[in-house]
Order: sequence, then C-alpha cells, then structure tokens
Amino acid sequence: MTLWRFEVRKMFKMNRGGLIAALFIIAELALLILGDTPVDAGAALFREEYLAALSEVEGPWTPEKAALLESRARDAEGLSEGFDVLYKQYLYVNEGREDRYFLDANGWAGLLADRGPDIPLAAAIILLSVPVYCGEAGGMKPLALTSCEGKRLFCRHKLLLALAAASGLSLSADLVRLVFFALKYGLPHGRFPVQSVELFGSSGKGLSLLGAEALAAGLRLLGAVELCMLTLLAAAVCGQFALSAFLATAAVLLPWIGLERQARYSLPLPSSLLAAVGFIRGSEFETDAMTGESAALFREVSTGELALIAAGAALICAMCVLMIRARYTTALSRRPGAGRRAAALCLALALGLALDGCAEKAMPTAGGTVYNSRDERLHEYNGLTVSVRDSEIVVTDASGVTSPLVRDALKGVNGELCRANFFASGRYVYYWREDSEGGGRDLASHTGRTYITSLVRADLDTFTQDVVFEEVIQYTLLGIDLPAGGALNSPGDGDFFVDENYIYILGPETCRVELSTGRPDVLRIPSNHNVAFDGRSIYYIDPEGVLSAFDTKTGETSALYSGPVSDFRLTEEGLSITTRTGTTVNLPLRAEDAGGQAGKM
Amino acid sequence: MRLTGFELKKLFLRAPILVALAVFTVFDLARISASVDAGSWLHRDETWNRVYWELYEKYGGDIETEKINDLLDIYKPLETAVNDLTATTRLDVEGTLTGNLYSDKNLLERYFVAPMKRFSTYRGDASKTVDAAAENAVFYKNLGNAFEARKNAAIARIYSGRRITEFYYTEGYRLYLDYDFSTVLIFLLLLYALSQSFARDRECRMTELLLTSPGGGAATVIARIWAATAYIFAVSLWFSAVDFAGFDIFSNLTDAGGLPVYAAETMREASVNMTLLEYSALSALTRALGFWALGMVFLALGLAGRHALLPFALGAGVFLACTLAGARWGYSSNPLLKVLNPYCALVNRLLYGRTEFLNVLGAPILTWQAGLVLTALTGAAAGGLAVTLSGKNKLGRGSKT
Repeated sequence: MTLWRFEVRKMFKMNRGGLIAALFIIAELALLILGDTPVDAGAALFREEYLAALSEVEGPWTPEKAALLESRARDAEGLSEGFDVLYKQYLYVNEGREDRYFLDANGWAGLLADRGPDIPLAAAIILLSVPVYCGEAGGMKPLALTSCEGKRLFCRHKLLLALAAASGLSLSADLVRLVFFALKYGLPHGRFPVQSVELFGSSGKGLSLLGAEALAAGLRLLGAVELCMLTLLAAAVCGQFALSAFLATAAVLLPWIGLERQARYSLPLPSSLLAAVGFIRGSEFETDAMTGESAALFREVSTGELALIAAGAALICAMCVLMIRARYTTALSRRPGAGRRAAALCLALALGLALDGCAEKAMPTAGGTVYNSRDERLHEYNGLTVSVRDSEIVVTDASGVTSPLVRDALKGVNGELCRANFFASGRYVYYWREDSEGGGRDLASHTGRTYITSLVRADLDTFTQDVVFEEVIQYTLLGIDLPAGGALNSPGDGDFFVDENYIYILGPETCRVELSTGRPDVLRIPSNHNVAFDGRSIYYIDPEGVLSAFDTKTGETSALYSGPVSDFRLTEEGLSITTRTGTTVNLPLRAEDAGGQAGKM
Repeated sequence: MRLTGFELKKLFLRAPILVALAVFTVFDLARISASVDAGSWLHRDETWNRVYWELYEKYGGDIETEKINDLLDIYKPLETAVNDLTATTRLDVEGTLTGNLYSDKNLLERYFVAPMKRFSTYRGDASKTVDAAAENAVFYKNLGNAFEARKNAAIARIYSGRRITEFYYTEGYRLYLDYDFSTVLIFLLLLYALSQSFARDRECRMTELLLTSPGGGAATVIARIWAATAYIFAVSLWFSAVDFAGFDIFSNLTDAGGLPVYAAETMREASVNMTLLEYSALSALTRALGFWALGMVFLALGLAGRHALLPFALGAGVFLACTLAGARWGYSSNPLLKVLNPYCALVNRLLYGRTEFLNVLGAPILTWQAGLVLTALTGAAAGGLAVTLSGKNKLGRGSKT
C-alpha cells in the first residue's frame, strides 16, 4: 500500500496532477457555460409556449396528433412562435414516424452534440501521463528496478494509476456535461429513440437517448484509455518530456485535422473515439446544386464496424502494455532534473496581445427618437433626408441631390449585402450588412457563404460607418468549418429599432438582442399592429386591444388608454390614438414621463 | 557565429526532428492529394478531366471576344435545353463532350463560363470601385472627415487599373490558398524543438556550466535565438515549398501563376497588387514571420518549469488561444482584433485578401501592414524576454554574463 501512496503522491502532488485535474474540470465547465447555445434556439426562446404546445403531443407519432397539429396550423391566426417551433419539429418527426418522437430535445441535443474530440480531456491526459515514466528524476528508475518490490510493482503501479486517472478524467467530464444539460434544459424521456434528436435522424442504430449517451461515454472512455496508453508508451520508450508530449499531441491532432470525416471514423484513433458522437450518427447525403447528383458526405459506421474499431483500440492498448512492460524489465536510462524557472509573464503577454481590444464600443445615447413600425422609413436630420429608394438607403440633401448612405467603395468586389431598411435616431442611421466570401471550400457550396452579419451605424454628420453589433454565422478553424451557433439572424428586410443596449427585432413577437453579449430574449409585444418607440418606451397594442407601454429601462408594462384601440401613432407631441369607434384621441406624453409610468387614464 | 552553429546542431539537427520532418512532409503531401481529390470535380471524374484539358487548349490564354463567342455558341443552347428541361438525360449522346447534356452544361458553366465571366467583369467592378472611392474621397474631404477621405483615396489607388486579361486554370489556387494543414505540422515541429531548448540544458547541467564560461549566458541565448530563427524559417519555408510543389503536382499552379492575385476566387478584394506566384511567395514569407513570432514565444516559455512538459503545454495553449481567437475574429469588422494576433500572419489570406484599414492617428493603415509590424514586434518582445530572463540566472545576477 505504501508504494501506491508514493505513486499517487508523485502523480498528483509532485507532478501537479491535482492542479491539472482541477484546471481540466474548470475548462470543461467554462467551455459549456461560455460556449453552449441551444441547438433549437426557438424552443429555448419561446420555452413556455413551446412546452405548452408540446405537452399535448409528447411521445411517438400518432395519426391523432398529426391531425391536431395540422388543424392548428391551418387556422393560422394567433399562433404563437412556440407553436411554430413545434410545427417544425412535427415536420421532422413526420419524416420518420416509427422512431422519431416528440420531446423537448434541447437538453439531449446539447449533450449529444458533435463537438469533435474533447481537447481539454486529451490535454489533461497527456499532461498527466507523460511524467509517469519520464519523471523519475535523478536516476530513480534503475534504482527502483533493482529493488525487490520495484522490480515487480514499479511498472504495474504506474500503469494502473495512469489508467485510473485517465478513466476518472473522462468519466468526470461526462458527469459534468450530464449535470450541466440536465440543469440547463432538462433531460426528459431518456428511453425515447435517439432518432428523436435531429442530429441522429438518419442513424440506423436502435438506441435510446440514454443508451446513446452511455455508448458515447463508453467510447470516450476507451479513447481516453487508448490515448493514455500511447502517451505512456512514448514516455517509456523515449524517456523525454518534450518528445513524448510531441508524439502524443501529434497522434491526437494530425489524424483529426488531416483525415477526411469518413476516414476518421474508420480507424481506432484516440481522437475519433474522444469525439464519440460521430460513430453514432447516421449517413448523410448532399445533393450537388449543379449536377443534381446525390453524393454521400458520410456513411454511417455500422454496429459491427464499431465493434471492430473498439476491438482495434483495445488491441492497441494491450500492445502498449506489453511494450511498456518490456521496457521496464530491461533498459536502463536516466533522466536527471535541474532547477525550475517560471516565465508566466510571456504567456500573459501573448494572451493579452491576442485577446486585447475585445471591449465593445460605447454607443452614444440616441436622442429625439420617434419610431413607428407602420410608417414609411423616412428620417430627417439637419437638412438631410434618409429614405429607401430602389432597395437602397439614400440620403437627399437640402438642394435635392440624392446619394447613397452606404458609402463603401468596395461593395462591388466583396459581395457585401446591405439590407434596404433602416432605423434612425438623430444623427445616427442603423442598417444591417451581410458579408460573405465567394468560392466555398466544398464543392456543393459554390455560392458565397455568409460569414458575418453586422449592424452598422452611419453618422450623418461625418458619414462614418461603425459596426455596433456583429454576429459570426460560421467560422473556419484550420480548415474545419464550425458553425458559430448564433441565435439571431439578421431580420432581413424586416423592422427593427435600437437603443443603447439592445436591438429590438419585430416579428410575430418582439425579440430583443443585447448588443454587448448577443444574448436574445423575447418581449411579449405583438407586432401585428403598429409598434412605436421613443428611445425609452415601446408602445404597442396588446392582444386584448389595450394600448400599452413597455419601459425598456425598468421592464415595467403599463396600460395607457382604457378603451379598445384600433390604431395609434407616435409623434413628437405624444400619441395619436384611433379608438375602435373611430374617434381620434391625442394623448400627450410629458417629457419626464416618456418612460410611460404615468399617463394612465 | 560559431555559437549559433553549435546551438543549431545541438538543438535542431537531431534525429527525432529530422525524422519528424520527413514523416510530416509525407503527411503533408498525402493531405494535399486528398484535398485536391475532394475539392476538384476534375479529379473525381475522368471524362471531365480529359474534356477540360482539351477545351483548355482552345480557350486558355488571352481572353478574346472570338473565344467568348465561340464558347457561348456551345454553351447557350445547352443552357436553354437544360433550363427548360427538354434535354435528354441519356448518358451516351453523340456529338457531346462528355456524353451527357447536363454534364456538358455543368462542366462548361463551372470551369469556363463562370470563371471567364468573373475575369472579364472584374475590370468593370474594380473601376466602379475606383470611381466610388474617388467620389467618396471628395465627399468626405468636403465634410471634413479626413480619415475617410484618405482611406478612400487609398482604395482608389489600390484598385485603379485592375484587370484580368488572360484565362488560366485557377482551381489549383483556390485549393492551395485555402490549405491550412501544413500550418499545424509546422507548429508541432516548432513547439517540440523550441519548448525544450532550455530544459535540455538544465537536464544535462549545462546551464550552470554555460554561465561560468565566457561564451555563456546572454551570448549563448542570443546565439540560440539566431539558431532558432534559422530553424523556424527553414521549417516554415520548407513546408510552404512542399505545399506549392504538392498542389502544382496534384493540381496545377504554374499555368495561372502569372495572373493577378485578385483572379483567385477568394482574393477579389485583395489589398496587394501582384501575380499569384508572387503572392504565394509573399504568403510563405509572412507565414514564416508569424511562426517566428510564435517560435520566440515558445522559446521564452521554455524558461518555465523544471522539465520540458510545462513549456510544451503552455506553448500549445498559446497556439490554441491564438487559433481560436483568430477564427473567432478573423472576419470581424474590427480589424484590430485580427492584427494583434500572430495567427493573422499564419493564415494570412485574411490579411492580404481583404482591403481593410486601421485608423492609426488619422492615417489609414492597411491590415496587412499593421499585421506584419505587430507580429514582428510580438516576436521581438518575446525574444527579448527570453534573453532578459535567462540572463538573470542564479549565477548571472549582477554579473555581465
């Protein structure tokens, strides 16, 4: 037992294994908390309505449920966004009625998302495993091998301990994920088929959601063990820290980046096993837009093949064990150590340089806003008139000369697209721009890919154009395309308005996006009637026909006019209200209660 | 100089590095071959390949009205037939190029009509840009917006006279300019060699010995920096050469080498005026500079820790952070986030391929200019740090070393 204790101490104390494990858990958690966006953004955004609509149809497809959803969809009036999300899900379920069930799948979809290999896990395993055989400082290895106990147990203890550590790390990462998704979205109905999650729609494996997660966890565990074994082998054979770490890193990175997707999942590679989910996914086909031919993007790994791959990984592990043991019964090598020195300053400097300048630009407060969604887009400022003409935002000056607002000379060559809609407040005019890059990497995407959607603010005094908000749609990481998972797409040509902190996008319900974080949420503001904004409060007619105001600073909603209102308009002086009976009432808004707290009648 | 030679021999001309270099070169070539196969229809379909090069004989070279009309004479009827769905879907039609009408139309459209159109319209697009920029320059000058005025004047200068007068096979460049795998290979080789440079000294107790010798201390570290610089440039340029040769062999880069850089699909908005061949060289040198900066960081990180594992892990972390930040902000409209990251020099199509300006005290500076300067500064700072920190050793404190 003493020998065990020493080995444990060496790994977790002397070689900072405890610190590495703690950092690893923190990294996994941070990745989840910072990086997770709901797979079905709609279901998360309109959660209450979605769950209410879902509760009627949860479970397998039945003709009754289909009829119910179809009939709901037919009387299109007054359908909530939540129902839209469910209807999209229905269309998906309808394609595979046997094994696609209705459920709130966000938790499972997040848990089983295809994230690629677990990089923090791989890094932690390499860092823990390399010193196991490299770290016997001061020629301990020959000494240990010549002692009675050492000869028998030295190699075995180290091997078993490293294995236990790697398995522990892998399982704790799974546990962290499980808890995170269970708490954030919930993981209901684990026995429903895995095909209920869209990512696995075409999977031919008869797994349940829970079974799929168990299989994925098992594969990751196998990958962790395999990587640990390969690292130990490298360390035992070459006995050098840098070389062992280099070989192990290359073994993880190169096959993953270098191989095509199909090849990655045909070999028992640690990186593929650590990615796990790719083994469970179904085949994917892609229709080429130009030839109309259907090409297989990915062919599903069958259960038999998966068993072979797992057996291959196990075989590799066994061979590693044999080779390590062989090293530790014969060769004598030494690894003297020396003093230590820290240069953490360099890292701080490099990181600081790389991440500097992330600060958001402050946005000056817009004064004198009068916005009505039903009005024609027209804005006057300092003798300039901004309007939309021929799908272009133009500025007409006092002498009647018209020129484009978007003065980007490069738009002819870079394929950017500016939406022909704007929101204006004082000297600032806001519009949406979409940038794309021509010539995709894949054969099928010959059209340009949109990379970034930006909200641009033009200054009517200087005609300077600044980006105040942008969202990456897709980005490329060393040749691998990654979806950025933005929850918001630009409103297209739809209506929007902006204040210092938020963009408000009018749809069936009003969606609000925080400028600094990009986080969306929903305001219960229908936009089938006019929606007005004065820089502080949003005025709208609620579903009961009551004219209401929503204070964007305090979040309070108040009724402004007791009678039913059919229409209204915001002017400089106040609200001009048309009642159901056809009379027009003017409701002045005093400057100090533009917040809408007062003015109730 | 002799010290530099020793350092080079001691740290870099070692069996594991040379073996890894050879193996990685093979990996690189295999990856290039695979990406050409996956990215080009000509490599997927033997008939297309044969027909393409036959037609290329005829239509390659100067873009002339005759050639365009000749091409459109074949293409237009095909397009009409395909679009109104009257074309036969048979696979062995007499008198066609590939045996099938749809296939003919697609081949012609993808490989001749679309690129030729792109080439011949570029002149007009560029001159429109020049006109718009010139007009903007006057407009902003009148408004008193000096930065925008100077920026637009610069755009007008860059885009004036741009035209593509010849038609050559550019698909090879599309794949080559988008290829990043060798960047990972270079990174691994540099990280391995540089992260252990100080640790190895410590392991064989050289550190103490060096500090007592006249050529030790700072002189050794400076020699090491020179040796590392030579190694970094050699490895980086070696893989750039392998990339170029690989794509030229598996696809074809020489034909279009004389075309201007903006003839490549993703480089329409390039801020440099040179040929594709020259751009390839510039891009290789820029990548080497980026790796030099990162390499100096790896070297400085080598001072941390008792053995080479911590420097290795920190170096990998730095690279990962730079890569993620580069991917995240590579397309951002805030170019500062891009140029502060040495990653911009590694994947430099995002620097040269876009016309973006930084406002430096009112002067419009192109992102590639800023990127090169900042990357070089990062490297110099990290190298300086390595010299400073290592000079202040236990024994070196207070002495000149």
